[in-house]
Amino acid sequence: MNDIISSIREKAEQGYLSLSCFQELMKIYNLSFKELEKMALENDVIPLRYQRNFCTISRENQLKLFNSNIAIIGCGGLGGNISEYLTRIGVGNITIMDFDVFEEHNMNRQNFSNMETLGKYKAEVLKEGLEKINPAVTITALNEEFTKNSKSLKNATLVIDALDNPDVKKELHAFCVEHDKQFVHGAIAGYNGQFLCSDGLHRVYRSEGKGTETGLGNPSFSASFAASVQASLAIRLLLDNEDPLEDNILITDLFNMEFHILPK
Amino acid sequence: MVLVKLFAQFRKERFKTKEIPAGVTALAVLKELDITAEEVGSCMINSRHAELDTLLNDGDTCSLFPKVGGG
Repeated sequence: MNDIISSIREKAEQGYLSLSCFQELMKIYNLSFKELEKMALENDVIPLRYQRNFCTISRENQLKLFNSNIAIIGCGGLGGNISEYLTRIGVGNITIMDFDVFEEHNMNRQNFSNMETLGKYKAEVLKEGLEKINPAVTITALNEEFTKNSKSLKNATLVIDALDNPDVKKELHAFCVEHDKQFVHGAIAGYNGQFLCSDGLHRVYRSEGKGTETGLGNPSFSASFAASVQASLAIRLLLDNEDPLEDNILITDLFNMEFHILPK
Repeated sequence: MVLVKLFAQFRKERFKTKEIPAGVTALAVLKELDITAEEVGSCMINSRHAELDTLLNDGDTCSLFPKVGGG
C-alpha cells in the first residue's frame, strides 16, 4: 500500500496525476481505475482530468464527490445532460433509471440520442457513454419505470427528478421524503423551467396530468439549461448540505429572460 | 381594481399586466382569457399561493404561471 502511495506521489506533477500515469500504475499494481483514483484522492493527489474543477471544487470536496452516491430518474433531455455533467465533475456513484428507448423525436435535445442509438434503451446507452467519459465513476443502469416500491435506489442519498410526468414526479418526491433522500426537482416546457429541492411540488402541480410541454415541446437549450441548474443544486446539496433556493421555487423563462423566486 | 400578471407563454397575444374590476375569481379571469385551469401551474395572490376559486378583492395582485412538467 505504501509503495502505491509513494508511486502516486512520485508520478504526480504539481499535485495532478495524468491519464498515462494512471494507466502505468494500474498495470504495475493491478488496480482498477476506480481503486487508483480513490487512493490518489485520499492522498491529496488530483487526477489531471479534474484540474479545471479546481478551485471551484476543493481537493477535499473532490474526494467527497467521489464517495457520493446519487440517482437520476429519467434519461431524456434533463437526465442525459445532468448525468454527463455529474460524471465529468467526478460524482463517484450514479444510478440512472429509464424504461424507454431513444426515438426520433428525442433527437432535438437528448444528448445521447443519435443515429446509432435510436431504438436502444436510454439507460444502457447513457451507461456506455458515461463510462467512456469517466471510467472512475460507477454507473448503474436500470431499464425500468420508477415506482414507489423501487428498491434499486436504496444506496442513493440524493435523487434527481428528470422525469417528464408531473404525477410521477410527485410520487418520486413522496418516495424521497419516505426514505430520507435529498431531492432535486426540475421540469421544462418550451422556454420555461422550474426547480425546487423542497416539498413544494403541490404548489406547481395543482391538478393531475401533463403540463404545457405537450403543446410547447422542449427545445435543446431549455433541456441543457435546466440540467445545469439541477446539477448545480445537486452539487450544493452534496457538498454543503445546503439548498441555495432556501426551500423556495425557481421559475425561469428564457423567452423573456425572467427569473422568479416563489415561496413554497 | 385587481392587477392581473401573466407569465411566460400566457402573455402571447394577451398582455403582461392588466387591471380588471374586482369581485371575480382567478378562475373567471382564466375563462375570460381562454386559459384552462389545467394549463396553470402556480396561482399567486399578493405573492402567496392561492386556489383558483379565490375571490379577487380591490387592490389584489393575481399572478398566473403555466404548468411545466417536461423532462
